[in-house]
Amino acid sequence: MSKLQEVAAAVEKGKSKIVAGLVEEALAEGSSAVEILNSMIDAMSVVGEKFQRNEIFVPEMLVAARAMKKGVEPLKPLLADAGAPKAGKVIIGTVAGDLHDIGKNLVAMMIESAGFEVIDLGVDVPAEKFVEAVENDPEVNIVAVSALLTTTMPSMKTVVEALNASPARSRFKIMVGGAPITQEFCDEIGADYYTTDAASAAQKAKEIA
Amino acid sequence: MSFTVRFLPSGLLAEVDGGTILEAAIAAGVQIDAPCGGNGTCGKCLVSVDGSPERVRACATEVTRSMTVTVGESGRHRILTDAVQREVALDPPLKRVRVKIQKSSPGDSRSEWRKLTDAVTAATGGAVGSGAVFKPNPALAGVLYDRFAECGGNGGRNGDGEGEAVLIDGEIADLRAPFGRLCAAAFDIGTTTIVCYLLDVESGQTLAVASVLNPQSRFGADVIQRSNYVLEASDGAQALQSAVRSALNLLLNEVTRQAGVPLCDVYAASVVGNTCMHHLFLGLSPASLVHSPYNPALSDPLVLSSDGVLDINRMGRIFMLPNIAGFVGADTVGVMIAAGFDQLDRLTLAIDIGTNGEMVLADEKRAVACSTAAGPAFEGAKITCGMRGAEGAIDHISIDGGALRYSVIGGGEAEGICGSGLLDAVAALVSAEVILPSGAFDTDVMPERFFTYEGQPAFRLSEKVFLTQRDVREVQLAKGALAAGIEMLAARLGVKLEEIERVLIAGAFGNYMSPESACGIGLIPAVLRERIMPVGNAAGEGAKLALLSVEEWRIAERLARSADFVELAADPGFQDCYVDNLAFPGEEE
Repeated sequence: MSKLQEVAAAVEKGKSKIVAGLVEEALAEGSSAVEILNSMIDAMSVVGEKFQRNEIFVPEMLVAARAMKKGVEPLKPLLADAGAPKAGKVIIGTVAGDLHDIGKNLVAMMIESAGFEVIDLGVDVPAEKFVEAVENDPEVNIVAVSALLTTTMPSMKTVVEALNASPARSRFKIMVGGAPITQEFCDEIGADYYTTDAASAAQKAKEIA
Repeated sequence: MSFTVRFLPSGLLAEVDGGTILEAAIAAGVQIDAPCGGNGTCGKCLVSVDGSPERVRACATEVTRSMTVTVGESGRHRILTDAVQREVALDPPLKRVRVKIQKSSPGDSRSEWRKLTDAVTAATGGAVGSGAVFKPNPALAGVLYDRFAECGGNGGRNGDGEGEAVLIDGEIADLRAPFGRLCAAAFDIGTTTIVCYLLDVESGQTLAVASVLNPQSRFGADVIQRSNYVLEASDGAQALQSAVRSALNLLLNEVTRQAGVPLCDVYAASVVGNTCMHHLFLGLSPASLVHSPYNPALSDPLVLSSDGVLDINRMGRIFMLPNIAGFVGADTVGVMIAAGFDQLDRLTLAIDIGTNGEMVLADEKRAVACSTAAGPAFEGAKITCGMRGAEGAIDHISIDGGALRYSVIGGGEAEGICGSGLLDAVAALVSAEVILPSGAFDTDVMPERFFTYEGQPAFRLSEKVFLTQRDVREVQLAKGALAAGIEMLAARLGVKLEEIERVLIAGAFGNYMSPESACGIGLIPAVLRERIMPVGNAAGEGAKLALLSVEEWRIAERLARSADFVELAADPGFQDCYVDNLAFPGEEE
């Protein structure tokens, strides 16, 4: 197995403790940061496909996503220098009143693993902050909004309304998700796309970017 | 002149003309331990008079009036759990005293209320309310003219009367002609099930128990959905409040019927529940509970009038135990008082496993609490063949040398699997390496039991009952959350897991789960296996204790205040800790 394959296998199996070491080894053997990143992105898309085929589940995806994150860390300074090509730029956050971020983080990691630059606004994010972030950054082409609690769904509506009123609306799409969210709710509040899970969110992002 | 001496907890009576309490006890057939034979030298025959916290020697105290005497050792309430047997001195916030209603003469210009407070003060020798002026109770004062008449002697207009004054929380709540048992009802309002215990507060005995499914379920299965109903529907708060109150009244009818006690003899109730149940019972908006930072509208202990709230005597009171935080409620405080968290001598972890797994880790000085979103897997929900722990449920499973054995509640054919069976099944399959540490099935081990169910591998446990890959994942997410909660609390106190000396598991699931299996899947750290003790419905025990001991009611407030709440969702380390705890124990490939 080549070093790049080893890196990919470690990500797929979620071996977060060894993945950073393998990345360093791959760099030492002469692989470029972009090559290594791509091997990890491929591994994560395998993870996403397996998830969609019900072969693996959220626990394994969380473990794999964390391994990916560990693997990307040593690459970050190198990638910034290389001006690596991006699939797009995504702003993501959990709405005001909601502190839950495990699902949102997983979506962020899957989207990042699909080659996007992700700006994570964190949790309990008011509508104005979403609007400000997207208006101040002309490169953003997707805003992803998360809510985990039924009781914070109205906050999501507020965010989407504020984004829809933005003069920059034509250059970005709005994606929504979270346990209580449905396609009907997405349509009702005027968001563009709803996906049921992190893997399909990443796939959708690739389609629409 | 003769006096009536009532002995508790036996309820035996003696009519005496005087003499000592010890002599009255002998006359009544009550055994008081007096090894010195009543010489006043051993100090063993301690009793308390009319509920006074001060204990006196029965052999050296003269009977100079009618009184109620609580006898030493048996006047202690034993908590009926195997693990934390502890004794609590019986000193209920609800008491009664026999009072003489003296004939009024012209020139006695005292108000009816004053006449009552004077009678109570005289009857207690100043002990009750420590001689202080009782807080005026207009609801009672307004009916005293008739109440005095009910006590005989036409209310003191024709002659002396005798009545019983009911004191609650140091206030005079009622006056009646002498009546039967003095009772109180303890409620544990769970999201799914409500339990009611009827207590004789003078003996500390539980007279009856009943439970019912929480009728709020029709507004949503969990606290978030129910809160959402309140926030969205115009009459939401009222609908949920009246649903829970009618369930409590139904239970009151049932327990008083079982015990043969009239509802009007029930003068107090106590309530524990998670913070949302607490709010919905009180009709408080849960808005602050379900929006970050998820704080309660009200946490402090509260004593309410029962009038118009519950069908106990309308002169009664309702004791609402305090909450700790938005997702750690009075039920957890109940567990803490039942488990004696005020007098801990070693590092103790208490876990109440329900839809949310609330837990408290404490030593003699500090307590930290958190709530984990364990989900309803161990209640049988979201599991393909899951069911409640009722007849037909597989409740235990083992695999020994490739042979699978299980037991079924009721002994008949297996119809489904309950929480304890699910835990055993996953533990046995992890140990047999049918489930890999990642949580995936290895279908090459015991292949004869695997089949495909809705496109996923499923493992057959019995003819009808099986476990799917998705079921295993539900268990994995639940155990990861609970195990991470334990680790986060230990980290917050700066202790190592192996330093935890006792693990108390509260709730129905905790009573039936195998500690071996809980450690086998990594829900509880393996190093603590020998220290796990089930404590039954400790939340309900806590609600009872609040009605049987003023001290425990006060301790509840202190414990609730002193516990530090850890918001896991806001802790940056939680996600890592959670992901670390998702894997099952075992060697990675």
